[in-house]
Amino acid sequence: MKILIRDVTLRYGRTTALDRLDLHVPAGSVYALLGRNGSGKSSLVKALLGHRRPDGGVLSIDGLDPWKARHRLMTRIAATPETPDAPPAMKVDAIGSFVASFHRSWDATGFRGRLDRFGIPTNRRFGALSRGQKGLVMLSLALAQRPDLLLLDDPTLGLDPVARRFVFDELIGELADRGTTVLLTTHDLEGIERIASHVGILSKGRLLVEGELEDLRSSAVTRGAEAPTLESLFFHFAGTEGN
Amino acid sequence: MLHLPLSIDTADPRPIGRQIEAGILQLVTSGALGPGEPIPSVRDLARDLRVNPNTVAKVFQRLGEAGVLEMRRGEGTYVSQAPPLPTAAERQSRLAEAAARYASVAAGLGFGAKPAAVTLFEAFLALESEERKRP
Amino acid sequence: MRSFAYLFRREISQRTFLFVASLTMGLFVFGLPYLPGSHAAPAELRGAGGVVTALSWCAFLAILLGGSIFTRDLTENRLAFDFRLPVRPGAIWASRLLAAIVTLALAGALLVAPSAVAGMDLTGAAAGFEELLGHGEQGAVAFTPIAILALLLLANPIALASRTRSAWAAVDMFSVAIVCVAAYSSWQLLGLWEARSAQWRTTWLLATIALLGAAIASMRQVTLGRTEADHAQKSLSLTLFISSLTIASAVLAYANWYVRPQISALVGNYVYAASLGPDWVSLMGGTTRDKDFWARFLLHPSSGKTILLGPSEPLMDAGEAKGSRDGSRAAWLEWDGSRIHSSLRLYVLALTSQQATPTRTDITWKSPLPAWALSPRGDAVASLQHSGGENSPRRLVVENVDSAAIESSLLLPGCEHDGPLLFLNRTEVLAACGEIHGDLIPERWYGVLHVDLNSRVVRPFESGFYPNRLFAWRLNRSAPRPWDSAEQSSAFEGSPALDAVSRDRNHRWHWFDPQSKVLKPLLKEKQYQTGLRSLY
Repeated sequence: MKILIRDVTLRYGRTTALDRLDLHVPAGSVYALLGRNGSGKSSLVKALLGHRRPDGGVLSIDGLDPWKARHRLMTRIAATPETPDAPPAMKVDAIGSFVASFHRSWDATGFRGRLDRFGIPTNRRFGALSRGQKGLVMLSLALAQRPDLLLLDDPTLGLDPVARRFVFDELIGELADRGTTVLLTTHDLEGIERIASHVGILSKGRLLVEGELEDLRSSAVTRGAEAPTLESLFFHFAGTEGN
Repeated sequence: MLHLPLSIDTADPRPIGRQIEAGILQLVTSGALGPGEPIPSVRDLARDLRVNPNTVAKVFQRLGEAGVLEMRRGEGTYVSQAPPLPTAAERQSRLAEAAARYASVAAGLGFGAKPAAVTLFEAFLALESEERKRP
Repeated sequence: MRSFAYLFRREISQRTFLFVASLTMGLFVFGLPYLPGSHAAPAELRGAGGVVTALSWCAFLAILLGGSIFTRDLTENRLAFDFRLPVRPGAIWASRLLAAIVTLALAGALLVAPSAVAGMDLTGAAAGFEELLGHGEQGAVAFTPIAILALLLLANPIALASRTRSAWAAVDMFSVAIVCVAAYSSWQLLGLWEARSAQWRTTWLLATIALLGAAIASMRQVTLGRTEADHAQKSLSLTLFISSLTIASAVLAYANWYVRPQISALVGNYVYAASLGPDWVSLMGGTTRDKDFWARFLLHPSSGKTILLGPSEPLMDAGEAKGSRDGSRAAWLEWDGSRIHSSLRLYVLALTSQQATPTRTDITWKSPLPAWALSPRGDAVASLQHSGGENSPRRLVVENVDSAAIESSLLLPGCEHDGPLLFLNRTEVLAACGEIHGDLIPERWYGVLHVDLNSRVVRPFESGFYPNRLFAWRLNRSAPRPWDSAEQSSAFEGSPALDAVSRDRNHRWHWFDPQSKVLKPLLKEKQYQTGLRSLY
């Protein structure tokens, strides 16, 4: 699935979260959306999930408007929130079968297998899990939907190194198995560096730079950047912004 | 699971795909991977190296087109029976490239040409003794 | 529909604890009679205890659920989970609201179930409702679910405003104020017309639209606001505002329409009609609006022109318009609507012209006004007023209609009870002092006083009769008379006649002879129907 964002503006009162943003996520790409806190990443994810209607511009996922066609798009999109938000009183396996009832292509074996690999007790209430376990449950729910598009809002936020490793392993497995299009926002530059095919750096609601990671790296080298890691690219483009 | 002694350095200015490609070529030219030997699947290698499987797939495709690797449908990927070895000039230029990298690292760490050459020589000796220990 | 069912099932299954708690409380109510020191009959104790506990428990749950089903999950970022499912926003809203309603019903049912099985006596509880609402069992049965639903729906905006603490709360308060003002003014307006049925209907209308508005507002909060608290608040507040405008205009429009009936709304059987002069008829009676809503009209039959008169005071039976004997002027009283120290204002209409419009005079009288009369030419009004307390002698006041100047004011000694008042001519007034309650034979003095306004001489007639009705009709026979009832009650003419009842309850007509200034017996009752016209 491909995402097209044209001239999108999104405001919170007087604050402009997205300022006439243009962005393009090609089908089959792993698009890492980088940016400092408050750069508009989460607002963009909300708009893409149809939780928020943009104040201007056009936003389309495979030609559909997520605000209007959200319920149809969500059969093919899976997303994990920045903060895990499943009903805290429900047990993990109950959450699984609840979400499963909405998805025809639900991968029950995959869901159980992942929880097993992550060592998450399925008979425990969601609210009683640790932060890392909650995050992994959300990821398992998303992957079990066998989505065409994965929207991950800071998937490694607050995870310990083991859980973080799980996230990337599962992501790589998903990419290898199904070639899902992935859009993720992250601060975990090191973790995403080897996976991302495309990078966009967002600052104050505008895209500072967008392109294939390799192209950005080589252009940075020619411009004399010392070590063209994603981190250095990020600092190169966004680090001094607003300071 | 098959395991290739490859490593990725994100500080390396070369793209990740190029690094993997160079690594595999290195293994083949050095004979560490003999003709007809199996190579890990895209998925396994991507997991192993923790990189995007698409990147690995592209490397395999390029090496396949160059005749280094051979994809057998339903079986897996293998080193070709007769992988084309690099020409003398190619070998020379790669050596020079690697030497330049080594020199820049050494200079960055504050070493002169002489101690760097000595260290390089020592590394060669260590490599040879490793080779000898192998069954 | 399928996704709605899944969401609904989850909502219900998450509330198992509430149901267990309800059943536990139900068992407690069941056990009330076994507590030491209880003397009441077990069934009655369970009835009263069950109703009180179920109501307070359901009210508590309604507030709790109302504040949480949409708003808590929204502000605690848990609504986003549902919005990532492939379901329509409407299904999320409907499943949550319906689940909350079912939860309330189920919790209430579980609470009373154990006692109901054992037998509950609800008479005590029903009496309590009677006391509280003025309605008995039926009223309570209709009222309680609506009240609980109202709590459920109104807890939502309050919870949202208190959680987002946004400036939109001011809009919410404004909406509430609009509804309150509209409700108050429509109640006032309908109260002025004594339209009790309409007042209650307005209240129900208001409550229904308010509940509907709150429900739609919560729907728009969910479907438009989705996971964004500020947008949710905006959608909710805007919808509530629009709803409150709708409620306000609907209620005000209804009240204003209600008190402005067409003359065709008069219900024939209850209409009192009188001719005011050659061309005009006064009509007063019940309307098709409601049995308890009365309206007064002046009708010009030949042109069809009608004039709706303002509200009359409910306590005053002299609500009909009066016409001057020469047919030139009609006069009536309108009430200002106040319940304490209310006043009545005199309005007049020139009957000689079709184009005339009602004129507001400067004459106002304190209510209750015992009696009043219009002079033969319509240029003066006489009124009987209290000179002090309830049983003090009445004062006769004659005022000029056009200047509102007081022409005469004199005490009528011995006239301590109200009766009709009648101008014989511009300078002489008859005042009947006394009242009749049904067939009771009064013990006090009743009689007729003759007052000469020029000499200020008051002459009592030792008549021994007390008046029942006092009419002075004139009707031009040549004028078209489309109103049957107008013909019936105004089919006599000539000089004033007193309709009096004798002590022996034999109805007799008397007439006042202006020459001898004495009351003369006119006809026996049985002669009334046939003989009246032939006499003149």
